[in-house]
Amino acid sequence: MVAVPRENWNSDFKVDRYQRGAMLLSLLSVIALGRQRSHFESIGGLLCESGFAAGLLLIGLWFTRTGSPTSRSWKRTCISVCLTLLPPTADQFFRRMGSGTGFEIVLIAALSWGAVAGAFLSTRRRTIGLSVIASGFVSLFTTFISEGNSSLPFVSLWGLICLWWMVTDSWQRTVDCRAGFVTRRSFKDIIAVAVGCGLFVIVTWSLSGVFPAAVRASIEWMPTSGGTGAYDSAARSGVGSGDAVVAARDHAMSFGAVESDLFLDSDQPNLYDMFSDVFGEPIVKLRTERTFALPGQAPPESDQRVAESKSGGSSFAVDRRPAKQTSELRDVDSRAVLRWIGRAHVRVAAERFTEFDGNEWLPSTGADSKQPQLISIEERPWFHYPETDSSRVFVGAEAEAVKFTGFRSARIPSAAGMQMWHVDRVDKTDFFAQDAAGNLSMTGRVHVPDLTVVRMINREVDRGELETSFRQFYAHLPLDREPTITASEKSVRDGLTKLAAEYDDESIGTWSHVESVIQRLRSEYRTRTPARAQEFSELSEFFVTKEGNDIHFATVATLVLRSYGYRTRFCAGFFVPGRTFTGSEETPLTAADLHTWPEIQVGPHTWIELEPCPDYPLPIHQVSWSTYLKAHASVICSVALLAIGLCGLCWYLRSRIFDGSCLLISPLFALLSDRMSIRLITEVMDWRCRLAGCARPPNTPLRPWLKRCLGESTADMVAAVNIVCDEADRLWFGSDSRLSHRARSASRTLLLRGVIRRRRSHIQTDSDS
Amino acid sequence: MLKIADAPKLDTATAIDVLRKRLNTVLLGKEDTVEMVLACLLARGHILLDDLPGLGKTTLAKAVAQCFGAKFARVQCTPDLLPTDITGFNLFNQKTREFGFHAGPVFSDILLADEINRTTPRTQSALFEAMAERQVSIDGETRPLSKSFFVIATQNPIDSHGAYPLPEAQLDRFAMRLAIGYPDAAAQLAILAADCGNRPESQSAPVGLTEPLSTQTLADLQHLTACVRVDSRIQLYLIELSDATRKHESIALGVSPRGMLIWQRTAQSHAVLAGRDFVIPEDVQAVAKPVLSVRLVCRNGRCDSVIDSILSSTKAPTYR
Repeated sequence: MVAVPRENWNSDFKVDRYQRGAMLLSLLSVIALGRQRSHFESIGGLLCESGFAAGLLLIGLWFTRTGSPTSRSWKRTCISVCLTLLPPTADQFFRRMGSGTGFEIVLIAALSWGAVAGAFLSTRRRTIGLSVIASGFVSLFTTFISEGNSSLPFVSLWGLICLWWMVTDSWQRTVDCRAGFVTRRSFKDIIAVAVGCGLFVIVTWSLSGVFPAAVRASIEWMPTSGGTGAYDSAARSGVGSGDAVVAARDHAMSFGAVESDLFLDSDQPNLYDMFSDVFGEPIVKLRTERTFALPGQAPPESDQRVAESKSGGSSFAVDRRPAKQTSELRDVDSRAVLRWIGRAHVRVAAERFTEFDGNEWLPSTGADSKQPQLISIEERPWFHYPETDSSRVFVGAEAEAVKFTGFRSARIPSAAGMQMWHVDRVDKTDFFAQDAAGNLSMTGRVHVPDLTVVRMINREVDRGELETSFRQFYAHLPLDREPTITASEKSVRDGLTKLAAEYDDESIGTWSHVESVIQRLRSEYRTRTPARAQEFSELSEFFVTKEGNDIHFATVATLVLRSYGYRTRFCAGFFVPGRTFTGSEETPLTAADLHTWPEIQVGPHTWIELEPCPDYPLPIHQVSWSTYLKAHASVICSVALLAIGLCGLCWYLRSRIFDGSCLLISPLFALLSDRMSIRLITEVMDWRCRLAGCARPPNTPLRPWLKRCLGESTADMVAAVNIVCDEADRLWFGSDSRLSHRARSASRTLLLRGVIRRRRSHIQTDSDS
Repeated sequence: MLKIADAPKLDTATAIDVLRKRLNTVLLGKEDTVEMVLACLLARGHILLDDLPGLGKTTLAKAVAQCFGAKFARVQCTPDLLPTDITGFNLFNQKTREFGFHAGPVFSDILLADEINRTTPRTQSALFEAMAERQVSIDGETRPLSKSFFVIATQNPIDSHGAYPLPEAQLDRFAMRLAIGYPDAAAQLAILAADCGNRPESQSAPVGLTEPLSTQTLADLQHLTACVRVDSRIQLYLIELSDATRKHESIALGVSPRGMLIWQRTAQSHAVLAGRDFVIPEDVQAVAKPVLSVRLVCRNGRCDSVIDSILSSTKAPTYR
């Protein structure tokens, strides 16, 4: 590219505050839209598009400074058109590559880039104003199509900046633009606009049916957003229980199947087919048409498996969108049997099983001889077992609680590490009983009364100490023992034996071995699809199909681990989900939260839960600081030393690092207003003084201090300081409103080369002498 | 560039340059003092030179008068000096059988009141009325003084026997108090050389500058000074500084509103001397000590450190 001398640069393209505001607003709208697009488009594609757009913009900005005024205008217009047509072009390219995006998103993206082009490349105020309107529409539309609140900050920021832009820069102009100043267009212009509109209609009409996009455009604009009231017969007349309308409203951008009478009876397979394409033979759908415009909240993988129509259209795919997780407490409250007050993702065991008859798990019958002990903490009765060190457990512990709302059993569900419990004013030790499997229950009752609240202290296992205590506890295990499998069916027995042999290694007897068994189960086996989740199947099938439910995983894990000699038990209970409800700390536990998992004993009186089922998260065992520090002392010391060294190096090179940063931000200097540039220079020079150890005393004038700091050897810098200070004084306290070009270049010189390396002591010595 | 409307042949910068060079030629090695004298002159204020004898006070006053070709008068203040000795009096003329007015030294452009603290308060009051009002009333008749009336009063800080110290209310009539101080070695060498007739080339009167400026030029410069722009932030800064002097624990008497006005005017004149048509915070700070030292009453004697602390603790308007 040929360099153009600065003096030959075009003078009619001057970026003022009005245009800067429009630039900022347009960029904000592009970022807001891009963020939404990133949820359902490839990041690479977006980056490519943005890169091309930035390149076009730079070329356009270059064109604003070269050539004759007429050629500049034409070049800018061409670049603006190219920028606006970039998203459709890129979309066609990406469709060829197998991706692509929705038609309306392409249009909105084109509008947003058009707004950027108008803001950056136009010299006409009216075009810049139009770009602000376009960017506002894009921002608002982005908020409309996003389901979460993630886009609200962008639109709020856009609104704030727009308000500032209108009030500070354009208010007076708006007042002046009253009707008396409007110039009527000539008849020729009106005819030209009318002919243009007519041509657009004719071309669109002639192209309808040629391109899929034109087909959709001929039906209505934005057909995939659920349609309008005028075309949505479902919305007009009501469908079934109204689920279709609700689904269309809540998931306007989604095309998953909607289960309602209308769709079950219809020969059209799903909502997408209903409103997006013409009736008749189902057309072959591109993958992009089925997956684009999914909601912007990172939908799970199962949600993206949308329904696929079969040839007749009378049957449905088995993959359905899972029931929507409601955000209202009252919707799940009626179905809750328990409420959990405490951490999320905790497994609360309602029943623990230790006996397996070869076919199924048997409930424990024998009672534990241990009697709980009673202690009083804060004038409340708490129970614990003799082996529990109550004083140690209670240090820093937070009580969790189970509230019974419809639990028809005398069992008290508890987490694996429960150490102490407390029920209101109950202070009788014979009120509770524990069986051999570790199940706690209320004796002499059919079920725990509703609204009973059992508070409990659950001991956290230190992950750092787990390995050591586990090895000590299982030190008696023979390393070369043949695994023992108890199962009635031969196929099951064979499967378990094979699995146990396969998972057997030299690390047996260590916690790592248990972890490897669980990890291999999680990775080598899979859970069933939601549609088959409730189907009953034998355990033998688990080994053949390598898929099963959580009960299969828990059973297999328990038996395999037990075969190595580890003390394990099978647990059935609830998995506390991570959902929260507004205004409530309680988590209702319903039948949907039922879960099974194994527990393993890792110490004399310590059991922890395991999670072999890959659909559930692994239990998290925190590592205490002391253990972590002990284990990683050498690494921590090395990192600390390295950090200290780096900090020292950064401190030593602080001035140079700062100067480098100034060099980086220097390209933005040209965009700043006069006052902002002076402010920036003042800040930069003050920071340089501070970093050089000669911070300017409060209320000391800038000019003499900078001269002292810069020293006499840098005469050009001193001259630049004089120029900048003179012009800044004139700008701030005089009657001038703009900086001269000389002052601008002097400011830039100071920014880039105004390096201060003198110490305060040197400066004081100079001034003393 | 500032222009003097009534004297288009001489622009402001040249006029000030001429003044500066001439006074610096007379008072060697005292550029700062000369700058303050000029600032006071342009601000239409009066100066109190508070220094030891023999440091060039009279020489400076004469030089200022000579610069403008102005009428110069000197009053040696003594205890027996009467007010009429300063203002003038009406004398009956036997020939014409009428009273004729004999103008006193106040009817001059530049008046040097030497050792003003030696005369009685009555005479001091007569002079201060002339300084404040720029007019005198004699036998019921008000007589205006010269437009460019400028008083340089001196007082000797030692040998205070039989002296009448100036009260604070009267000190407030002065715009500045200056101390010339002893010249440095180089300046003293130049003084000795000049006495022997070998004045260095650099300190001889510049060619083309021997012609005196007119009193009209002085009036124009004073008018121009009054037109210098003072931003509202600078005025707020002045108010904050003045408030600080009134609230400072080491100051018994702070700056009066009249003192604040004089401070603003001297800051304007300092800006003119720097070639600007607007005042910046540095102007206010530069004239703070001479302006404040004449009107602040500090509890522990010297006010310089107190003024420094006020200037450093009051936030000056910046570019932010």
